Amino acid sequence: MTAITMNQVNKWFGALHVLRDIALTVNQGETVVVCGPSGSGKSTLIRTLNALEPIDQGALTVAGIRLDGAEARRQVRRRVGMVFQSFNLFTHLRVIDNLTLAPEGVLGLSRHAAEARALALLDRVGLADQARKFPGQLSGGQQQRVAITRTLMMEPEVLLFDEPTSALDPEMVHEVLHLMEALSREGRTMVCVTHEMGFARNVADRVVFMVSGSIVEQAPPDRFFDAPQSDAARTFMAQVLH
Amino acid sequence: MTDPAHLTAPVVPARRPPHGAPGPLARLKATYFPTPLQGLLTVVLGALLVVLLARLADWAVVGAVWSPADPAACSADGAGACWAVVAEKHRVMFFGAFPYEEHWRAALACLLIIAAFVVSALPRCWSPHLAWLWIATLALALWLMLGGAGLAELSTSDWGGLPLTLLLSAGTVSLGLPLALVLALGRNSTMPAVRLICIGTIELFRGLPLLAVLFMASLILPLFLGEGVTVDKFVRALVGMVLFFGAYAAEIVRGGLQALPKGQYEAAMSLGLPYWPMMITVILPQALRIVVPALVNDIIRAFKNTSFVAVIGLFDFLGATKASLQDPLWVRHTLEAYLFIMAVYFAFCWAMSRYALWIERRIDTDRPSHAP
Amino acid sequence: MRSIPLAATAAALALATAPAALADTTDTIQERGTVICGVNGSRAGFSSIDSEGRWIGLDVDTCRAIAAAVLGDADATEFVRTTSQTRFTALQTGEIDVLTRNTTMTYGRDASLGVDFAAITFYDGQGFMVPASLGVSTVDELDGASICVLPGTTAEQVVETVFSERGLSYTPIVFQDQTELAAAFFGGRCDAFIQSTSGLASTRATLAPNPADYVILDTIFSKDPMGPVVRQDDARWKDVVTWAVNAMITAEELGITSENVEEMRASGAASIQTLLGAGDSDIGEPLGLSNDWVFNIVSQVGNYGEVFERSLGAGSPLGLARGQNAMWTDGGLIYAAPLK
Repeated sequence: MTAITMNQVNKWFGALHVLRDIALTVNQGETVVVCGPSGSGKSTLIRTLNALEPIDQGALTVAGIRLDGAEARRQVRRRVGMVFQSFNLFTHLRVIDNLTLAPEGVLGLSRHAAEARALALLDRVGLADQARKFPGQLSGGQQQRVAITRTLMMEPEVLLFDEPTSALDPEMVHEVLHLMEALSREGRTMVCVTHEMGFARNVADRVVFMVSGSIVEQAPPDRFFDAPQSDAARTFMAQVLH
Repeated sequence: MTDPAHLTAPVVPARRPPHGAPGPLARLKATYFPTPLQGLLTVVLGALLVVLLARLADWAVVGAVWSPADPAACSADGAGACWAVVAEKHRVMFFGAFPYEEHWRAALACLLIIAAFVVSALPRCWSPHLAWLWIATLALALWLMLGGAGLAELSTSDWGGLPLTLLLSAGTVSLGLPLALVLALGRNSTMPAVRLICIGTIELFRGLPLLAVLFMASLILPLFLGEGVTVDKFVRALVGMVLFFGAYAAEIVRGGLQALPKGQYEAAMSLGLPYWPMMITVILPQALRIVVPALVNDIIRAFKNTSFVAVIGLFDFLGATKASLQDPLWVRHTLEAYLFIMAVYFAFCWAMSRYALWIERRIDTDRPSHAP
Repeated sequence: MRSIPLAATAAALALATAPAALADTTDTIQERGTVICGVNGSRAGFSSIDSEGRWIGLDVDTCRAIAAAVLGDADATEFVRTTSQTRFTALQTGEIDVLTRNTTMTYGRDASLGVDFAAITFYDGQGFMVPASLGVSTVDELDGASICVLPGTTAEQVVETVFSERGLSYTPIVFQDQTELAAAFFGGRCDAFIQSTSGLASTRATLAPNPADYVILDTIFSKDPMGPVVRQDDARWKDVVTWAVNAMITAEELGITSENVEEMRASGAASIQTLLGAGDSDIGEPLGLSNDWVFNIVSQVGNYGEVFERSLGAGSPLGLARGQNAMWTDGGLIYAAPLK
């Protein structure tokens, strides 16, 4: 069962062609890592998957819904969760309220049910005692784990991660990757843009390598890391794995 | 997993700093007498200050006339400040031509409005429920000021003095802020008609001086409404002030909306929140917190701007004072009366600006920066 | 005759846009239950507020007398402050019922603003005050002087007329407010000060740092008969105002005061009893008012002399003599047509 299908997707920013003839399929339960040099369009690609960026040409189907209008956008966003580089927690709300806001407002859960779910999820990641604090009182790693939990509250079919650890101090990267690995092992469908090659090698089912808006190579991590096919991939590997 | 505590365990245990904080005497010396020249300046200026203060005290306190019994005492040689004028005229200054027996109603209305402002200022009370507080306060205040249902009936033309100033300010702010929100959001709307109307309104009222707006509302409007249709003068003044305040506040709110990181919008959208719930629960609370200092500034200005209504014949606090000083017996002692109301205005405005400073600091600790 | 551009335009606009004339003002007032009077609010002796916030003055009492006549209650009044520029507009648009605002009757105003002067309650004139140090004793010596004036008032026009007739030049220094005007003059900002004679002596007495340093020039310029103003289209209302004022004057002429009015109604001369509505008097019928209307005026407000004394005369800080405003029987100009 495919969770995401991208067919001949193209996008321009003004005159700049940022996504070129993208063809990508992600199956349910797969964890896909998207990597590549900066400016390759990986962030743009992942942001089209929950319609934060519109596409100009091609067909895009996410969670079984063809993205072709406002109503489709609404439906897709209920089923797809996104984790951002800068966490984007709502700073004026406590952690618990960050988590319950969308389930109450969008899914129609009662306050009681939402809080129960929130506390259970926080407990799983070891943050139950932070529930009443404000985001500003947490460390970066804790904030990002809360952000991930916030998306999980909506019981999404697909999880998107846009460089989730790039803004963290090195000693906190581990706790976030640990959580992402657990989610992957649960069988969730995940698409991650990341520079963490260790994560890619150990957790990903497939690595997608992009250069200048096109997908140059995609392969299971063993093949990609040990025997990259393209020159670009080899150069990239050399730069990243010094 | 490595215990993170190991990362912060001290290798060298912490100790106290070698010298205590400098004692008060040392601090005094450092501030006022760091060099001989500056020390000399301190002495000279200090002496001047003492002399000025002594003379001020002599005029304002020692030689002052406090009792209004004999107006001539104020004009006598060697008399100091004529505070008697305040003692004599304070009722008129505070309440204008409001019926004397009903002054308690006006005083109560003032206290209610001040209380509502204080409650609205506390961050822990910031929630949509504040709207109910204001509706109740204004309803009560209007009942006290207009009468009916058990109280003697009055009309807005009886209103004057501090209650008028406070009611006008409260009305301007409580109606102007929602208007500002509507204009600010409408300005960013995707519908061209809405956008044009909002931009037009904002630019029109920012481009006109308040006096012109009040004159328009007060003189030209009745002419076009024709004979027989009179809109209450207070309402006319209020409409003018609300539009004026709303236009400025709209731009402030827009600034707050723009200052908010785009990520907040994206996170809310990614969670599937539709537009209005997103604005009400995520965007506006944060944007408004950002611009509270600027908004309080605007509110202080609106409070002072109420004195403009004197040109359309309403007796605000300043206008009532001016009118009260027409009394031939007291007309030479306007200075003390004006000093008094200056002190009252200053008390209100200073309180509001201290509040703005406090709020700024409080908001910073509330929202420490998240990762860059 | 000097044109008054703003007010005239306003009148034209008001008359052009208004489709129908106002309903009968007297009826409107009786329905509403109050008389709305336009006043100055800052003119001692005519309309101002005392230390307890109550309205006092000659114009205020005129308004109260009208209320007593029409509604039987002198306190059924509402006072609306108007500036010299907004006073006629307020009247024309119906915001106020009557303008009792020390307004001088002139041909221009009466004929071209759509208003009528119903009565004269005070005869005033304009006079000049100069610092004694100027060494001036007549207006002719004031060529090139700077003169403090209030805009839109007869004083302004008087200065214009007086100086241009004599071929003299002057510089007007304009202020919105009587008190600021006086302060400016005594502060030395202008050479001469023009004010109605009703205010000149009191201004010198109360505002001058040293009254002896200032001289009031002898000549009284212009005639300033002041009185209540109403809209032109309501003859009945005009009559009500005219005769309310006449009632006060007549009461003084006949010796009826607020103290003895009860007694006079019970046991005075027959004509006085009729005037006061006793027995089968129908004194109220011509105007459609109650037969008590004269009685109410005198008992609740007083006769003209009482009103004058407490607002402008010995009973007030102004201490003006009756002068031109004495009863005709005492050589003054106050004269009312017979109330019968």
